[in-house]
Amino acid sequence: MARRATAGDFLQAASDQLHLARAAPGSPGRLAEVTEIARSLGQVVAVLARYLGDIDAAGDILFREAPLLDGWPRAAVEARESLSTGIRALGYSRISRARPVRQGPNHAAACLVSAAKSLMAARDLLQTHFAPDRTYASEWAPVISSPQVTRALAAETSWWARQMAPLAMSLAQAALPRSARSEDVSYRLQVAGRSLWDAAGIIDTALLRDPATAADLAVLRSIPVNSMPARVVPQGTEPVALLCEGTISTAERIRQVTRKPDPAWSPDISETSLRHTAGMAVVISHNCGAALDMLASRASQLGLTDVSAGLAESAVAAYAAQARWLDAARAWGNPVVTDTRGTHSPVCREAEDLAVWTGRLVYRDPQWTPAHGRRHDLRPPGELAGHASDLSRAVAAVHNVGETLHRLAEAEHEKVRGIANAGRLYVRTRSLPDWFDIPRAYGRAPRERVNALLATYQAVEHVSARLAAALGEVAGSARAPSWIVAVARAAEGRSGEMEAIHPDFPAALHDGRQMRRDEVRALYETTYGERDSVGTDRILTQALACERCDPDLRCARLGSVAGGPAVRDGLGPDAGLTIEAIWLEPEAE
Amino acid sequence: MTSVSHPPPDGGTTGIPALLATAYETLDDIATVLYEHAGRAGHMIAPFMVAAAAAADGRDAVIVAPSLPAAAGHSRRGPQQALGESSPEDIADRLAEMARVLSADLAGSAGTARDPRDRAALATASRCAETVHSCLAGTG
Repeated sequence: MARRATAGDFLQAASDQLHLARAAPGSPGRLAEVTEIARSLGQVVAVLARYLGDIDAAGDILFREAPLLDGWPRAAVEARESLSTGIRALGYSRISRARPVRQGPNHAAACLVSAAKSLMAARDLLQTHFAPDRTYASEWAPVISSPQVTRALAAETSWWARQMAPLAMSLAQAALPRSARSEDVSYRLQVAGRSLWDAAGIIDTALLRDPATAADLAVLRSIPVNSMPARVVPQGTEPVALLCEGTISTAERIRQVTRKPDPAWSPDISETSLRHTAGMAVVISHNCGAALDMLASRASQLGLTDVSAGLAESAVAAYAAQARWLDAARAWGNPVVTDTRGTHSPVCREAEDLAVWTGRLVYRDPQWTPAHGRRHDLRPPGELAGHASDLSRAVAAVHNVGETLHRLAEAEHEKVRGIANAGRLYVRTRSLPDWFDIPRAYGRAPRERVNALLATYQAVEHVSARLAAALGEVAGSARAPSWIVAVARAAEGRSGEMEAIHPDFPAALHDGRQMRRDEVRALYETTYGERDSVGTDRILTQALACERCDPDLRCARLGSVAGGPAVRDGLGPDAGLTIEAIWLEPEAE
Repeated sequence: MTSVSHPPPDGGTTGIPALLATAYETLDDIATVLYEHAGRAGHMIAPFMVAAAAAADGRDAVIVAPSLPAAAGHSRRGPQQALGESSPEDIADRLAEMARVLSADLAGSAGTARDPRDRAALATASRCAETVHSCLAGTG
């Protein structure tokens, strides 16, 4: 499995090239060489200015507006203005139009051009996490916009400016034959050098107030390119290390797939898909809990008491998540159905993959699959993590799974809320007592059932958040390489600490047992309160607007969205069902 | 088909309608039992979940069959009471056998239905029942 490139890869390459440029033997003896190096310097400075322009969108702010700003935006605007002076000096026509000398490019100049390209590649890599309108396109975008990475980027820029400035000054003092042109080039190099010092000074002053730490720089360097990892299916011959990698890669795929939610009208959102996804999440949570139990045992054997305690606590959270996901799987079918069925969303298929990867990690059978999971032995804990380093690798894999379960819970909850808003939830009249005489197969789901469904998914989201938070803490204490995922979680505005239990939440939320109806109601009341969870016009309007593009779809959906007679699957309007009647039915939800 | 789990629903229906009604009720019961007992299934939870989803898919396939009697699914008792506190292995064995018989019956009758939608429903339900059997019997 290929590792994804990170910003650190390119920043390191740029730094190596800079060292090579500075170590280039001899000083340039000809004006053509000086101008060539100066032009390369100009390219580096231009990239640095772009980095500063990205800080709090400082590139969109005019210099004259800087006094109105404070903190990093102001420092970024002022430092960028200084660098602009350097760019103008080095971009002067006599420099920018300089051609390479005939003997081939100057070594220092070539190294600086390479450094500029690497710096630009690092910036481009960071920009892949944003959409063209600067909205977030990945889970890393909030990290890049966070104060941590802002400080780190500023510190990197300052370091580069301090490295460039003496280079410009020494070029300005190169022993060249005196001429009007050489004096002009020398003057401009001095201007560029001073502007670089100025920029570094402005940034360093800001860093004094809000210093960048080693952790900030590590976060910046760990940010990967925003690309979907390739889908990998386990072959059955993978050692534990590869199983961990495959688990992490598949978990990342799910997080990316769930990043862009399906619209509420999407046929991919069906009870089949939601039930299968919840079922796979049950299996994943269970495998996660089993892995955590094994790792807790192994950590205890290795003398890592604190880590062991954290892992054991996380295992409890994983089993609680399993119970709540099971509630979600049960919620579909008899209690509530959707207007479409039989479809499997991409998320559902990815969840199946993750269930397989986590199962292979936990069970000894190299051919384990969820459908072939009867009577299988667990791996011995020592096989999963022989040494402390193996332990942190396995913790990283499970931590990624926990984060993914939380992301999945959020996405599935959002889907359910969306289809509830769009009026796509129904009940089977067949499941009602005999004395109901309703000449249709389905009726619109009454509010109580919709609320119960939403509360179930809210519970899933809550316990999954607790699992992710618990695993984030364990990853930190076990020094697992996945700590960066916890940073991303915190930067995204989700709690980086253990989710607090709301005092009014039912105690059963974190138990393994199925929640009673009154507990589900209580959870709904606590979560949504007086707010109207269903009936938001925005999504409904969007759904209708989308359907105007497709007459067939519009015909099929008008019944379920707008309340008229439906034609898909024989769904009909509510047919006089009363809420009281629904609650009278004998079967448990 | 009466050997599977339920007698045909009242109303005197026989043939394909009775088979569809039995398939609907049996698959619904299998799904319900598996979801109810999955929380205590331990390391058998994975086959329980896959089998439950397959049973629910089969039930959903049958429910759109035009010949399914309207009374199917009304006033029935599920097998949960009979299973009581059985072990996950026992539950898996019993449901696997139910699914195997159902799958065979559905596969044998699928070709005899006149309505293509009934045939499709029977074929899909048969496949789903076979999946339930293979998951729970450990042959999947």
